[in-house]
Amino acid sequence: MDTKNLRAYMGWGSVFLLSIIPLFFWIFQQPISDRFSTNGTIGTSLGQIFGLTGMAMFSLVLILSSRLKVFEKVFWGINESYIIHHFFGGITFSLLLFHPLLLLYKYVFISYRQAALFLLPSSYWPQNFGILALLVMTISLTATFYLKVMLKYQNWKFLHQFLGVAFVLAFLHVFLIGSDIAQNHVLKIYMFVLSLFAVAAFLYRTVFGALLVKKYKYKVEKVIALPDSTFEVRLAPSGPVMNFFSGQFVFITLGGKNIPKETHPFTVSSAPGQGVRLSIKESGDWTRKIKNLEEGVFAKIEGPYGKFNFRNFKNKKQIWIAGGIGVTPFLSMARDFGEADREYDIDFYYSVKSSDGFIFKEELEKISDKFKNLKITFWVTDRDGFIAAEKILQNTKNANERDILVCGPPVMMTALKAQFLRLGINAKQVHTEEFQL
Amino acid sequence: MEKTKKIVTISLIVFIIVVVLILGLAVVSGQKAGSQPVINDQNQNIISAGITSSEVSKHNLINDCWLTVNSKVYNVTDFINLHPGGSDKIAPLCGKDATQAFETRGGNGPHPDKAKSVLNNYYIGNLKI
Repeated sequence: MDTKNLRAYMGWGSVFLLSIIPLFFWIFQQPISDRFSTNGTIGTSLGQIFGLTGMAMFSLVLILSSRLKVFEKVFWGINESYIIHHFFGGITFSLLLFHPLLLLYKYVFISYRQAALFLLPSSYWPQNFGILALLVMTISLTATFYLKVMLKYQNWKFLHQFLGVAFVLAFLHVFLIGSDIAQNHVLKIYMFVLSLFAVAAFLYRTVFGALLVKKYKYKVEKVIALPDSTFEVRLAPSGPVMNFFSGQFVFITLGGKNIPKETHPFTVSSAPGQGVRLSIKESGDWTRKIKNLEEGVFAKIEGPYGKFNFRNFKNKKQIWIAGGIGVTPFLSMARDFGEADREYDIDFYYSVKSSDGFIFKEELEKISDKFKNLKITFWVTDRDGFIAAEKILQNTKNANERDILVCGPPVMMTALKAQFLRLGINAKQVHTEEFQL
Repeated sequence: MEKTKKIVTISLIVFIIVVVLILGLAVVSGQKAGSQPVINDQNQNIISAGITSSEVSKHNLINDCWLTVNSKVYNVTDFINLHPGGSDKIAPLCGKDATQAFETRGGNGPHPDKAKSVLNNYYIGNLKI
């Protein structure tokens, strides 16, 4: 198994394991048969299991959101850590929603009124904190999952970060409620340490972000209009230079009065040695302001992140597929392609909707002319139909022996990956770079 | 819909349905025999309402057995046959205060800590003073 897949398995595996460790303590706290002796106790026990796992998972998900540099090495690129954060975040919420439902099960045998009272706040604050935590979580995650399209990015992000508050409330609930955690010292320490890391991670990212997170100071040198509502932003260092590999991305905050002080991720589309250049396409409320970016304003860069680079894969025979603005990592890689890459055999498909949608087409053609082992096919959907795995396999020599790198709109990447799998390509050969989850 | 979102959506829908159902049924139905408004409490703090001892005494049968230990009320109906010391030790205490029996086991010393955890599983409310 190559490093990327091994790291991915280890990443997912370790988050899962750390989440269920509390259950090992829980199992030995009481005879298991007592825990599941009746309908009522089954409900209570399942409720406890969901609560313990949910809280441990909540801590881990928060830790993952800190995007510490160490995650780049541990998870093979920070993108994977975000995918893990997203998935386990959803599972955490689901577990914690079922937690009170399972606990109230035993009260239903007494009366519905009793069960209802269990759900409502009372003068018992340890439980109230739990109710509040779940309420804040629900509001925050409803906005996160369902209102993303109607909210401005800044507001969406703020509502999502409110989960840190939900965590603190959950912390109070967990440590005051007097259940198994109170009775088992080792379990208590485990949950406490996890929670501490989680709160530290949250504060590092949010409250103390400006102070603690390392950023490179650059300034905007030039803003150039490109085809397809895209702009090239050229940056020059105002301080230490950031070293990066082709295909990596950064988080950037831009200055000036026309651009809100938000932080957004973009792939560096230049090659190392060409300075930092970003190709930004208008797609949301913030990117639509890029055309008004003033030259000379500051740019704060956090990074570089990402392992989406052709030289990271052992297989030197590759297919690159770019959809729209997904071309940026490949742009960087193509610009970085050199004599040392003689042994690579790359078939690069760059797909856009209409023929005037390509960016840096001439430059790419020149690179392809110079290096015969980097073949570029310019694909126009309006003219040639949607790019599809079948067509690529027909067109490219020894396609099934190649590693396939894909970057483009989520729908396109999902579709292409599924098509390749259906045509017998091994999932381990397909590598995607997600710009959004 | 993307996988994670699907899982979250299903959980949320189930949650909303159950909560609305429970709250609705609570409002619609009368109180079933035996419950005064009781607020959940697993610590020692006494809160507003509780179960009266006269209420507890109504549940004095083996197949409907409540008892009190240290001002907390437990429905041990389903536990009687699981009692390591035998069901005959618990049966005579149904509907009554079992604090002494639980603390001393009739002269054989207190129950082990694990027993206290097990007892908790059957807690249904506090005794109203």
